[in-house]
Amino acid sequence: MSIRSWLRACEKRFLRPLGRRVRGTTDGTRQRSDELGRLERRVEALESLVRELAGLAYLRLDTVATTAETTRPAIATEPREAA
Amino acid sequence: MIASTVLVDLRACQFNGDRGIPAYAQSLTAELVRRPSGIRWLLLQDPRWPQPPRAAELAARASWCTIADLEGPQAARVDAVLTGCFFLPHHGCDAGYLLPACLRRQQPRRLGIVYDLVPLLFPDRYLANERVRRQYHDALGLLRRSDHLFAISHASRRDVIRHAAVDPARVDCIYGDIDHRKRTLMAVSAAATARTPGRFGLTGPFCICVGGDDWRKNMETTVRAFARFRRDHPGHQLAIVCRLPDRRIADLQKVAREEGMPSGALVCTGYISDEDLVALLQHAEMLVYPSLYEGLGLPVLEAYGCGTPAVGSASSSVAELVLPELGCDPREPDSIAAAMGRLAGHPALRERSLAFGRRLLAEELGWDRAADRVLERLAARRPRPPRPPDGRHRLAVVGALPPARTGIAPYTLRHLQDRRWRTTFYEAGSALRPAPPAGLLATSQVVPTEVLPVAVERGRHDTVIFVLGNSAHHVDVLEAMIRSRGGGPRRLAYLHEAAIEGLCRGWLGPEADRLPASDAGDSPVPWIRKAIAERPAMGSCLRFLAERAELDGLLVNSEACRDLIRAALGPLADRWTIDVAFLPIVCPAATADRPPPAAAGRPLRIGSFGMAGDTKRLDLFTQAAALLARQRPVELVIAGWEARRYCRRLTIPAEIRREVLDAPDDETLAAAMTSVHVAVQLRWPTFGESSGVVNQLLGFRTPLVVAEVGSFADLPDGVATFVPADCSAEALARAIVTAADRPLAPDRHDAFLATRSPEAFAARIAEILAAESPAANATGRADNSRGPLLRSPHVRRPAGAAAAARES
Repeated sequence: MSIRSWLRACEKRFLRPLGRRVRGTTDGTRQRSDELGRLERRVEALESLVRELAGLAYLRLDTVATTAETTRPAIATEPREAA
Repeated sequence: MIASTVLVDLRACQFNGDRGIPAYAQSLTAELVRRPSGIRWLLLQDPRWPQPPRAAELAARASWCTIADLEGPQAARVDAVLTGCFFLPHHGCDAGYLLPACLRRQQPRRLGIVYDLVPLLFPDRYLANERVRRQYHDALGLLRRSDHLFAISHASRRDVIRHAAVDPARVDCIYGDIDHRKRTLMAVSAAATARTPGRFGLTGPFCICVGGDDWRKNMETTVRAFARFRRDHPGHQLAIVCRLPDRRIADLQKVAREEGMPSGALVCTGYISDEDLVALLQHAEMLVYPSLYEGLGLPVLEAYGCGTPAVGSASSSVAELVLPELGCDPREPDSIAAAMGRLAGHPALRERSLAFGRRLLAEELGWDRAADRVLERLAARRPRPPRPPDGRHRLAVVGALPPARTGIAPYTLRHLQDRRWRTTFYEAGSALRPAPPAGLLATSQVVPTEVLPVAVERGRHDTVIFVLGNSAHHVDVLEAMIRSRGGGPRRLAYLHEAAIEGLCRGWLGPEADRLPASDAGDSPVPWIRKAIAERPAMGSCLRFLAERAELDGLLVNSEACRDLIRAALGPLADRWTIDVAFLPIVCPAATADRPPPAAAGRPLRIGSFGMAGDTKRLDLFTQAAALLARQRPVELVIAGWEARRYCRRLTIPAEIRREVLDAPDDETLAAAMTSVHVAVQLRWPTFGESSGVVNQLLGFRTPLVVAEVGSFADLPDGVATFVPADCSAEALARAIVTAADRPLAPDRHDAFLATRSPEAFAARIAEILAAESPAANATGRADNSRGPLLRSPHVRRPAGAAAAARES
């Protein structure tokens, strides 16, 4: 028996049944992967935001965005305190 | 140019009756559709829920539609979407619901109304539920990526800038006004409604508070404040107007009793009709509105409209609507009571408050003003900013840069910067660069693509060039192209090939397959016909760029590419200038020694370089080598990505010595290129793309055999030997021998390389940058009659002339 045919026999006898069993138990994993996908998208969005803010700072375009336009009255600047 | 079809998403108006957000969105829409703007208005609703209250009124000037109506092949093309509200209360109203696939595919300009960001500011109160939080953040992401936003107050605008990190230039405050219907009711004289307060048990002077069953409406503190006010002003009553559950009413009555108020001093009316609301406002002594947080505060405006002064919070948007002397700290009952006392005790203050309200309504607010701002922003392009005094052109290049694994990246970095202009590279990719890339000029800089919309909005650039190839490396470039629409600078796309369906699929996903087809004509040129037949999606993707990307023109590497784009796109190609700038050829400082001639007995070394694939016709190449091997010794050199894997599929006779270099580095590839007697670079079908490998071979002065199609046909006779694209192995073998035996003509080669030098390329780019496109600025369409540019030395002759000259 050649090595190749021996490997193929192993695959048919052990690996494929094992694969079927594993697939049968992955419903929960799939749900978790959806959640992971969502988290990945969220992380990508946050990374994108970081890049944007870093780029704005580098080009000195952030000064207007974060200071001049957002000076607000005392109460309004602390909305969480009102909670 | 104004967007011709605008979809107003009014699905938010199908909830919560006709007050608040539904009232605002419908009133603004009514004003927009009333204008003779030439826009076709579509109003979006969800068939699962009841129609918006003013559906019939709006239907007179606009058409209602559903998502299903926008799905079909005959569906209307939407140029812009105005989202009435981003945050819908129902489960499943996430980003996919707000911007369904049929709209995402069309990539219309996206505008939206922002009322407030209350849940984001008070997450413990509003976003405790995981599902709600996820949905809210989903919608918030969509809000951030909008082209333009309209906030209903300056406070909301500041919140969007500060808490959602939206660029200030992309948010306008448009305010709003009193609902049209309530305006009509306010015209009725107060005498006609004198009995209405009595029906609700309001027998004496009373204050009114219009609220809701929401924590931030601050009802308990209002009752406590009123109790303190009443100690100095006995006989007054407080009317709380809103729908409240019995449990909440009992709680408020309990607070009133605790504060020593007699029975009947606090009246909770429940939900009342607009007629009754207007009547109560007309007869109230004052409106008390100490809300903890508001997006606008429509009750204050309604009170002014009814001739009633208002006391309100000195925070959020309410601070903009009340007289500063009548502002209060909404968390302190004493502060509210003091403001109420000031108003009740000073008739002059009452007059000032009413005058302030009248001025506000007459001069700052109004649906007509709000509609004007929205229509202004629907206009496609804004004027180009003036150039700074030093006069150097400010170029933005958006593309992938090294080390991105695309051949376009090094070209972009190396050749799109020059001392004649200032380049800002907007780099596609996910990483922040810790240090500038090697070879960056002192006058250039590199920043992420995310910054482009803001930089364009602030007039930082005179021209933006989007560098595109057909791979996932350029998805960010496409995204930046769409997100930076509407800005002033000239916008060019540098297409390295005409077929960009892989790029579109990487960006739009499966939706890319549903892009509408272009109006491609039947081309007389065989290779163009073949290319269009092979890739039908090519025209769809180019049409998407033509219709959605707001480009002034294209920049391509070859006349062949230009001809293919025109053929694949049809009449839409007239929207663009299409300038040709041949890829520069970089000659090595010292050309390596050429191999000795393949004399009798010596093997003939033949090479094929670049990424292996079916289109490179390596099968024909090996057949020709096998034919030659019958007459003389032959060695094959095959180098490039996937070379080893591909060579396993080829049948190469055993007597031919072969050298396969899989994914060689630059030095190895260069050594291999200079070691062969002839390089064979075939391509069929071709999509007009230029070949970096052919350029390298020309720089090394390696004798070349190329297929006479696409961009290869632009090469002059003296520098390459041509074979028909569908030639036989015998013909290719003959061409190889001819190329190997024919001596190079150094003068002709040098003259050719001079026209393709990096200096000539830079001069060509400078020429393109210097060219103005006034037509584009005025109408959004570019002038296509640019003869002088195409006659520049860098572009030798019109399309097809090279092939015609050789045939003659």
